Amino acid sequence: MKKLVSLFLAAMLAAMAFAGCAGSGTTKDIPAADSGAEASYTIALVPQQVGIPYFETSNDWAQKAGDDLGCTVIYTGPTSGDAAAQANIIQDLITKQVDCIAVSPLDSSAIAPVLKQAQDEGILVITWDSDIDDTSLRKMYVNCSTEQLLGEHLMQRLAHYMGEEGEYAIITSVLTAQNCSAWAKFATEYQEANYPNMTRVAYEPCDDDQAKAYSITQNMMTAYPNLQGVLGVTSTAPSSAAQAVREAGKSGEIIVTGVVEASVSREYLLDGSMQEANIWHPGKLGYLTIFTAMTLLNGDTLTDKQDIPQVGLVNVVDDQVIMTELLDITAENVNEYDF
Amino acid sequence: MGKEKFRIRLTLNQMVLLGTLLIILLTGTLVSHNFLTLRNMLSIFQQMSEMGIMALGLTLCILTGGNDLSAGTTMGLCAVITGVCLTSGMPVGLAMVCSLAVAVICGCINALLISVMKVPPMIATLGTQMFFNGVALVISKGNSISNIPESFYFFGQGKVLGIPVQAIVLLVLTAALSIVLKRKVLGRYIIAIGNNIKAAAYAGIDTVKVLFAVYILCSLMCCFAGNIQVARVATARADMGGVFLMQCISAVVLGGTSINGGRGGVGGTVLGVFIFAMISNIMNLAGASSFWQQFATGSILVLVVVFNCITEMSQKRIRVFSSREARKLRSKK
Amino acid sequence: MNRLFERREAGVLCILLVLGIALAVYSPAFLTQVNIKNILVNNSALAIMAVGMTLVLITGGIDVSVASQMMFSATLLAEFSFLPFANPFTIVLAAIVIGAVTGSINGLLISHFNIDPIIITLGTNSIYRGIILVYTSGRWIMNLPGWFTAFSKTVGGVLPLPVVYVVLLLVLTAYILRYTSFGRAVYACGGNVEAARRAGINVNRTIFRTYAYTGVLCGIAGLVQDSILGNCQPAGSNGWEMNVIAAAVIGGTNILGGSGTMAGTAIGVLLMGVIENGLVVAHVPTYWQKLVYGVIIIMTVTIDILRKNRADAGHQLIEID
Repeated sequence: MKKLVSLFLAAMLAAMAFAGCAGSGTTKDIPAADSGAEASYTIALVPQQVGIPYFETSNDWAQKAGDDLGCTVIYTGPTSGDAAAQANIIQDLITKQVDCIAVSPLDSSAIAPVLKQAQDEGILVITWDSDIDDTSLRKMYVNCSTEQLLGEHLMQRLAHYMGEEGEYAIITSVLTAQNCSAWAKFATEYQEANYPNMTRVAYEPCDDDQAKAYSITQNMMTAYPNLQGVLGVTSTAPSSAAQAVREAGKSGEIIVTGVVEASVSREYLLDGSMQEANIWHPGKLGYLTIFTAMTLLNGDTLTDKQDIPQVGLVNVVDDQVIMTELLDITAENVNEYDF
Repeated sequence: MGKEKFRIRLTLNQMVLLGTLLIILLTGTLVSHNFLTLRNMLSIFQQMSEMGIMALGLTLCILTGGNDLSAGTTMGLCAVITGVCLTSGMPVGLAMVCSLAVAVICGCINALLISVMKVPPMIATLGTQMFFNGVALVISKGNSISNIPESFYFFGQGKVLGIPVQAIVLLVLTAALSIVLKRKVLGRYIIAIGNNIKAAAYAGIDTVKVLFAVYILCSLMCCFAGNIQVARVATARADMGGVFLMQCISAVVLGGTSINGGRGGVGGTVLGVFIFAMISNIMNLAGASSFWQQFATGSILVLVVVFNCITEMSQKRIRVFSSREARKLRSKK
Repeated sequence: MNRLFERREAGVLCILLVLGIALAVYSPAFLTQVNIKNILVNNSALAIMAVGMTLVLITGGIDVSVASQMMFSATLLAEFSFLPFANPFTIVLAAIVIGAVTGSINGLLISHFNIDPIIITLGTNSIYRGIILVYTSGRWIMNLPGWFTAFSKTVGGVLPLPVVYVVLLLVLTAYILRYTSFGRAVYACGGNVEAARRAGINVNRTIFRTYAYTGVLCGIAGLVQDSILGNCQPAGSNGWEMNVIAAAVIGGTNILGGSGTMAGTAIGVLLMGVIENGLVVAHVPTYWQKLVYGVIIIMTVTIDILRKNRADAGHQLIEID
């Protein structure tokens, strides 16, 4: 094994020697699909996790934006909710020398070091969907609403259906998910301040697994016989909760609302087991993110109340681009939405 | 007595491993001309160090014919302990001591179950895996612990002479464990236990002590890995390291250590981890979907292991065939 | 009667009963028909996989790819159910075929090349999961047809069909283990491979069949899971293989091979399901779940080992002067 270790070291030295020959700096990876005379920008869209329909829809629209605006959009992210894996991916993207990294951070501080690295390399950094603590590390934050506004809105809608009284539970993805926890926190605080007759009885994670969300809802209905509302702050939870409520025959008795896409919630909204989905169009958010990135890369800025094709009006407040469309999807309007 | 000539004689497995390494290096250079740069290589080293250190510890356990399924969650527990200690104002040194102490306790629990109570390692560590994870979750209440003081960042983000600190730690630990396995008595005992624990006991080896050493070392490795990750991402979470476990076991096996123990070493393990880290890196550079990475990792593991098997089987056949031929010739004379 | 109590499964059953009684006392909602039904139905896919896992463990092997095989089957079946020729018969057939294929690949690689099961199944775990995620990009397959979800309906308001499937499979597998030569071969391979080989048992074929059978069970588990939830989340059921192994081990299956029973596995699955349900019912945050699982596993194996040591001590030679 010592021979193997020394061989390994020799191979590494050889690799480094090659690397030295190749030049000490890294060169840009120019995308192959380059038809025009000018090099087009490469933007990396990094979601919190791949394989979640919400982010996949953002990617679909982001690719469309790439075609419309003439840039290459790379979509890559961790396969599990692992912040360290997200940091690794961003590090590799820095090596790849992309022009912009648009990231939805899993953890508000975990990727700060690599984002600093990216900034030092001259790569544009923007955040979307979820923000980081150290805002100096990113140029702009593209989102639909602040975490506080969304949390309060979620609670307002839940309370509306619950008649502002009763026991409710919140289901989140993993307890360490930054944006879900923030929404839950603001929702709970708003309830405590404004709806004294409501009580939160449970706050459980479902690990973004619909089977788990389903069984948690069933167990909560048993544990809290007076349960009157379930709020799902992660897109996996509301539909599974609605399924459980429907099977228990309590559609309409137990209010189910939350953050979930139209396509996933459609059947439950239509049969009354879910009352409302409060979400924004993830596709439009993805499109807006790419648009923002391109604008900044071209040296321009976005103006407040700018009308962006495919997206609509946006508010620009300091370093935040806010898509003003928070949708309340109910059985009446669910068929208008394609995501 | 003249000096022995430095000859490189590789086993078949090591040749397959190096061959795989070269193929991957080649693929990498084709995919991106940023691949074979110093900076990217250092980046790969930085990313693989946590997994590599854990894999070192696992190698020791697997060499004794056992396994440590609790490695991932031990890492998470140590990370949470460090996080809690640091955020409550303890100095860095004291926090690390606490974390190391917890790791020793974890290793002792494992060793107690496995060597004293003779519980099969798989079950024992399956139980302790869930138990440690549970303890970490309860301590952290499932939340992530942020606000790690900057003084701690050095272990995960610092560089010495341009090389990431964790890579240096990995190399030092690899060298140290390699020396222990090859040169020290403990290493001999580990291999002996892996080959046949009863025979080792009869030969006078204190198997209980050796197994305690092995499992405590493994937990210590996980502790290092956990602390490095906390320093790298400036957060502590109970689920850190959970995804590493299966990959580390795969890397250990890929590196030539027999899963039944008694054969293998740390050099191969580090090579295995390096191969997996490179695959990940190449796919990120190519912009390939992360799902392909999962597929690729699994496929390469299966391919290499099967290939090893086929070549070993044909080697055996050649040997048997040639010995038969030799016997025939001899009897003809 | 004494012999019944000495059996391994009796111990776990006692733990289960004690826990159940404690929960029933603490919360009257626990022992309701709805809650029991929920526990049984939500764990039926797990139970089916645990049946296969028990077989694999008895042969001395292990299969960490069961969750991926189940999701592989679940995803393909979900897509399949929208095809024109899909109906209850063809979908069951499809489930069995898909499961047989995934299981046979494992079995072939393990038996033919004589490679350690944990390595192969680690690899195929990633491969199967990777394939369906690349294919679907994680997109949920929604709105499964009514005839598909009817597989999990509750007959007469009392008997949930998934429980019927679980019981049928448990009885079938118990029968196979006890009364067929394949079953005997499974135990033999786990007890002492060399002895089995010399006794004339085709070890390779037995191992192959074991993994193929487990694959079929995973395929059926996928069908059941899809029909219970009414849709398919390809990225779901992550890490379930550990729970499956834990359930089998708690139920008394020896991880080194050679022993294990269906009854024990069933009790193991029930125990884990009751813990999961009980925590919520007892208003305890669910992040205690892992801790409780870990303690239970360590406790049961410790008691196992202590009992085994005591039994062995009883066989010592006593020298009489």
